[in-house]
Amino acid sequence: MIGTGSPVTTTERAEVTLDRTVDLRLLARAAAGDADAFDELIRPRLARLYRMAVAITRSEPDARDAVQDASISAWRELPRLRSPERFDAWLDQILVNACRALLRRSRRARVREIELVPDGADDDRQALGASTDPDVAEVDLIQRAFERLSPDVRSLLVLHYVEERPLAEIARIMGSPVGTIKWRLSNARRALDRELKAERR
Amino acid sequence: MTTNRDALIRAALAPSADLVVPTDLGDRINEGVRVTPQRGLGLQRWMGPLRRFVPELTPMPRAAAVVLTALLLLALAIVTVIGIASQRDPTFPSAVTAYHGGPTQDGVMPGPAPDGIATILLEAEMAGPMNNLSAPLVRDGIVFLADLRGNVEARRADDLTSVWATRDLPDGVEAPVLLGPTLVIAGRDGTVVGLDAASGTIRWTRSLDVTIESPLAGIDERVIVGSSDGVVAVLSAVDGAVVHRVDAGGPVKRSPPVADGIAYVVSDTGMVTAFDVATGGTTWVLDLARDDVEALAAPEVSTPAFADGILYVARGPNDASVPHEVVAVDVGTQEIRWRSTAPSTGRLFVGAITDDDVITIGEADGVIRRFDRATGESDVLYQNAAAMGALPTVVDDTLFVSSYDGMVRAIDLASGAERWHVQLDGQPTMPVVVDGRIHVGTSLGEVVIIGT
Repeated sequence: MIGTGSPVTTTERAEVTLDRTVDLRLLARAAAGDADAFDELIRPRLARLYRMAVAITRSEPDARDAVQDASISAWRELPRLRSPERFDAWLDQILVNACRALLRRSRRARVREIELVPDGADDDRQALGASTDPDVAEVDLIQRAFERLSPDVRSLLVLHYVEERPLAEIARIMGSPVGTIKWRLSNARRALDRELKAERR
Repeated sequence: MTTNRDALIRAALAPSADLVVPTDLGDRINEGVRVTPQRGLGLQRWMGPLRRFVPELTPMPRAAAVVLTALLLLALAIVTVIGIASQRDPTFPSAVTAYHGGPTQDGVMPGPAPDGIATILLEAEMAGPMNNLSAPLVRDGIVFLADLRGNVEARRADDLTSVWATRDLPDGVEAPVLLGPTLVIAGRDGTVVGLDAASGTIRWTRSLDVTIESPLAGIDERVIVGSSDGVVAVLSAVDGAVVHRVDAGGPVKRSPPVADGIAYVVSDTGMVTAFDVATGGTTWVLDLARDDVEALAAPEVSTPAFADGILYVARGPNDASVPHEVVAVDVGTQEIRWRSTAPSTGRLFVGAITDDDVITIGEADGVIRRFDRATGESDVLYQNAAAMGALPTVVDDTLFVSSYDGMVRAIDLASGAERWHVQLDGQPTMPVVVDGRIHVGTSLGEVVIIGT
C-alpha cells in the first residue's frame, strides 16, 4: 500500500508508471474543493513522486519536503488546471519546480557537502542507489558529480536517465520546446562530464 | 542507443529499489491541504461544482477574471510609470561596464590595471555561486553581482560592504547589463527584470516565453536578450516593453556585440544576423556553417567580438576532441576575411582583441593563442596548466585570465610571460579590471578584489 511505508519495488514502479489515467470525476471534485477527493487522487501517486524527488534532491528529507510542498501547491492551484487529462504531467512539473526551489534554498556549499560526510553516510548513499557491482567507484563518482550540478541540470538528467521520459514529455515538464530540451540535455551531459573531471582531480 | 555509460549514469542516479515512502507523508499532505485554501476568484469557486454539469459556463467567469486582471495591471502600470518618471536621476553617469568590456565585447577593460605583483585585497561571501559566463559589473565604485540562484547585490568596491541586495529573482542568471539607472538581469526561465541600480528595487519584470542561457547585451536604453529558442528580443530598459523580436536562425547562447547601432547575433548553428537595434530591421544574414563541422556534433559558438569593422567568431562542434575555428567577417561587405583552425582540442573562446591580434583561449587544453588579425595565422602565447572557462580581458599590454583551477593570472601580451598569479577557491569569472583593481566572482559564491 503506497503511503504506508512499504518499499517501492521495480514491479510496483512499473505499475505506477503505466497507471497514469486520471479519474476526471475525482479530479473535478478535488478542483471544486473536496479535500477527500484530492487525498484519494494524490496517495496512489506518492511513490512515483517521492522516487523522482529523491533522485533529484539526493536526500530523503528534502524529497519528503518537496513532495509535500508540491502536493499542497497542486491542491491550491487545481481550480486553475485547464487540461485535466494532463494532470500527471502538470503534477510532475510542480514537483520538479519544488525540487529546484528546495535545492536553491538549501544553498549548501559544494565543498561542505563533500567534506561533511557523517558516519554511516556510505549506507545512506547505498540507500540512494549506489551500486555494489565492479563499477561501484564510477557510480560513486557520478553520484558525487551529480550533487555538484545545478538544480535544473539535475532535474533534466533525472527525467531523462531515471524516469526515462520522452523528450516531448520532458519539454512539457520543464516548460521548454523540445529542441531546447535537446540542447539542454546535451549541455547537462557536458556539465556532468565537467564535474566528473573535477571529482577525479 | 543505450551505452554502458548511460547505464552507469542510470544506476548512479536511480534511487534504490528498496526506497520506502515515509509512512506519514500522505497524512501530512492531507493535513496541509485541509488548512490551505484553493486559488481562484470567488465567482470561479462558486462555478466549480456547476462546471461538472454545465462546462460551457466556464468561459464566462474566466473572461471576467481576465478583464479584472487587465484593469488591475493597467492601474499598476500607470502607478509604475509615474514612479519611474519621478525617480529618474539625470545626474547618473552614462559610462557602463558590461559583459566582456562593453558593447563590442572586445575584452578591453577600462583599467587602469594594478601595478606590480597583485594579491587578494578583499573577499566577501555572496548568497550564491556565480556562473563563469557571468561577471561583476563595476561603476562609480559600486560592484554589481548576480548569482545563479536569483540573488543580485551591489557592494562598495573599496570595502565590499553591502549597498543593497535583492533576493528571490529568477534563477540561472547569466551576466547582467547596466543601462543608465537600470540594472537588467535575466533568468533561465525567460524572465527579465529591471532593477533600480541605486536601490535594488524592482522597476519592471517581463516574462518572455523563451529559455535564456546567454549573457545580456545592451546599448543606450535597449536590452538585447538572446534565447535558446532562436529568438532575440530587444527590450526597453525603461519599462521592459518588448520593442523588437528578431529571428536568429538558431539558438543564441552568447551575447551579441553591438557597434554603430548594429547588433551581430551569432547562433549555435552558425548564422550571423546583423540587425539595427533601433528599428529591429535585419540588415544582413550570413551563414558560417560548414558541412564538415556540422556533421560531427551539435555546433556551438563562443561570445563573438567586434573591432574595427571586423566580427570575430569562434565556433565548432560540441566535441572536445575536435578543434574549433576562428572566423573573421568583414561586416561592411559580409565577406569572410579568413577562417583559421589552431592545432588545439575542443572549444576556443575569442578573448580579447588587441591592435594586432585576436587572443583566444582553449577551454580544454588551456592554451592561449594569438591569431594575426590580418591573416589568421596563429601561434601560442601561453600554455596554461588547467582548462579555462571564462573569457580573458586586456588592459594595455597585459592579459588577465581565469582558469578552472581557481587561478587568476596576469600575462605579458608581448612575451607571453606570466607576471603574477593569485589562487582563489572555486572557479573565477572573467576578470573585470577597473580603477587599478581586478574584480571576480567565483563558483563558490565569493566576490574577490585583487590588486596591489
